[in-house]
This record gives sequence, C-alpha cells and structure tokens, in this order.
Amino acid sequence: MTYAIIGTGNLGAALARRFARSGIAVTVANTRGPDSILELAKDLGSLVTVANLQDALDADVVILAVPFAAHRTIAQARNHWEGQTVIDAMNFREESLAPLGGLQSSDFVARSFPGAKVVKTFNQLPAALLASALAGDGSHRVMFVAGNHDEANTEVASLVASLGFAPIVLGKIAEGGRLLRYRGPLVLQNLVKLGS
Amino acid sequence: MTYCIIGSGNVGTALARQFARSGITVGIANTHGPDSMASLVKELGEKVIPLPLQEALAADVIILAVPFRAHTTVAAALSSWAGKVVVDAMNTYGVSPEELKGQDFTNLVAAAFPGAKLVKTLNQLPAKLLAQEPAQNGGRRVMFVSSNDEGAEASMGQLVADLGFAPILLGKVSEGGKLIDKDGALILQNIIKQG
Repeated sequence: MTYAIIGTGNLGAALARRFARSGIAVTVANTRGPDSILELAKDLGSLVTVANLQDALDADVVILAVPFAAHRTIAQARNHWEGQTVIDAMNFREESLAPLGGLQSSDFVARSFPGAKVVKTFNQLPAALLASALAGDGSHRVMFVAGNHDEANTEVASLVASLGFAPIVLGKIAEGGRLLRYRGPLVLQNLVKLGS
Repeated sequence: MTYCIIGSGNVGTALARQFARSGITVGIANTHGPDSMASLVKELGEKVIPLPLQEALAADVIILAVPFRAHTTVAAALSSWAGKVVVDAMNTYGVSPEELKGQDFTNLVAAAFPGAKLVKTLNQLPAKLLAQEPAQNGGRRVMFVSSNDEGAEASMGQLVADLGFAPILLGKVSEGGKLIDKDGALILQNIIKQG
C-alpha cells in the first residue's frame, strides 16, 4: 500500500510527521512543487519522499490535507480515480451546507473523485494533537473514521491504528459521519481510549 | 429537579454510587420494594433514598436501569408521563431483532412512555466502568447523550457533567444516537476526554 499526503500546511506537515515517527513511508506533494517542501522533508527523514503532484497522486491512498476549495484542483490533476482511496482530512468551515447542495462535505468531495472510495478522517483534531498520537499517559488518542465503503473504512482504520491512534469507525458519511462535520459533536474533542 | 433510578442491579447500583459521590440526592426503586435495597442504601449514605416504585415515579427525571423487557412494567405504573424526562440507561444484550419490530431501541422505549422526553445516556459503559470515578488520567470519562428533545438532551448533559463525566451530545436518536444504540460504534468505549 502506498500513501501520499497532498498539502504541506499545518495539517499535512503534522500527518507527515506522524507517518515518519510510525515508520511508514509516505510521499508528500503540494500545488507549488517539490522545492517548497524540501525543508520539511529534510526535517522528517528518509521515509518522507517529496514528489510533484502528478506523481504523488499515483498512490493507493491519497490524503487530502489542502484547504477545502482546493480539492477540485487536486481532482482535476488526474483522469481517473478508480481503485484509489481518497482520505478527506479537510473541513468545510461553514455552518450551512447549502453551498454543497445539502450534502455532508465528504460526500460533496466524493463527487469530484469518481471511482475513488472517499473516507473521512484526520479532520477532527488540531494539528498539534494530530502530531502526537499518544497522550501523556501513554494511552492512544481517538481518531474517528467514516465512509460509505466498509472495506475502505477498515483499511483506513488500520492505517490510523498503525499511526498510533485508536480508530473508531462511525459508518457512512451521511449517518455516523455527520458527527464529524464542522463544529460537529466529535470534532475538536481531545479523546483518549483506555482498555476496558 | 428530582431524580430517581429505577432498578438496583449492576447499572442502577453503579449510578446510585455516582449520585452519592457527587452529592446529588436521588431516589432508587425496584420491583421488590425498598427493603430489598437496605444494604445498598446503608453503604451509599443519605443522598440515596429507597422508595416504593409508585412514589419514585413522581420524580422529574426517571432513569431506567432495569432489564430491557421490564420497561413496559415501569411504563404501566404511571398513567401519564407528560412533562417527565425518561433516561434510557438500559442496555440491549440478548434482545432479539424480532422484539424490536425493526425500530431503534430508544424509539421503541419512547413509544411506551407517551408524553415523556426520552434521553439515551448512561447506557454505554459496562457497570464496572460506570461505577468508577469518572475523573481519570488527567481527564474525565466520556458519556454520550442523545435525544430528540434538545432541551432534555442539554439538561441531561448537565446532569452527566454534574456526575463527573464529560458529556458529548450526539443529537437525535435516529441520527447520532444510533451510535449508542445496539451494536453502535460508541458502545463499550472507554474514552477519556482531556484538556
């Protein structure tokens, strides 16, 4: 399985750091080109590879860590998305979903990536918490996952666990996934999971 | 606001313990009568008041901590539920899909208590965790709350907070509340909210 993070702002950088610390190889790219990422990559070591956008989008799992409006630009950079998993780590920062035709934002994003399985996760924590999956007491931070394809949910939950988080799969975007909407009940909650 | 727990099994006992620890007065009743709870009440102190079922049902907030099938017996004990909050703290082990007639658990319970505002919470942890001090590991144990009535959801969120938990309001029973219904993703999760 190959992974790419698109976007190198706070969110993308925090995710890249998490991959590096967890020993999982990842490619990072943004719309400005590899030169803009060299410093970050140098800081994170050999598991983080810099690529141009086009090459990065070949990964099996593409993580969108760009501002919401930019997802269309990313989508257009590739002809087809069949067989790929797209992780929506973005937030549509408006209360009203009217501009999205009333869809939850990840279902709206999915329209731009025909053939891809879109999974929402990594969107719900501030970058500082995202960068540290372990809480001070050694327990794992909760990361919620939602998507319309059970298999992709399971695959992404497994990635989330490999990155050190405690995944909880909420089901479909328009059902359990609703709780991950902007200002939703499960967003910006600093939760850790203990053994039962 | 007056509270009463119906049921004195593992869940009812765990809840009574949280009320006592938090200094919030609560009635407790079961179908065996107050004498059956003498030792529990002695242990938990004066904040926990054993009552006959009928008297207990006079409380503003009725917390159902009985086996699922017993909720209809409780419902039948009062002719009107109008204006009351009923907290569904029942779990759903061993209840067949046929008994549910295709409905959400909580909606089925709501139908048995016409006029009451039904809130689902205090149902999602094993009794052992429910009884523990909710302040843990530098945070508080999460308790999810769901209701179709926003006002009742908010006031039970406050009660849950007063009992020491970190409430998270999930919204309507057939939406966010599904996650704490039977086999829901947020059932039996030992989660601590930090910061």
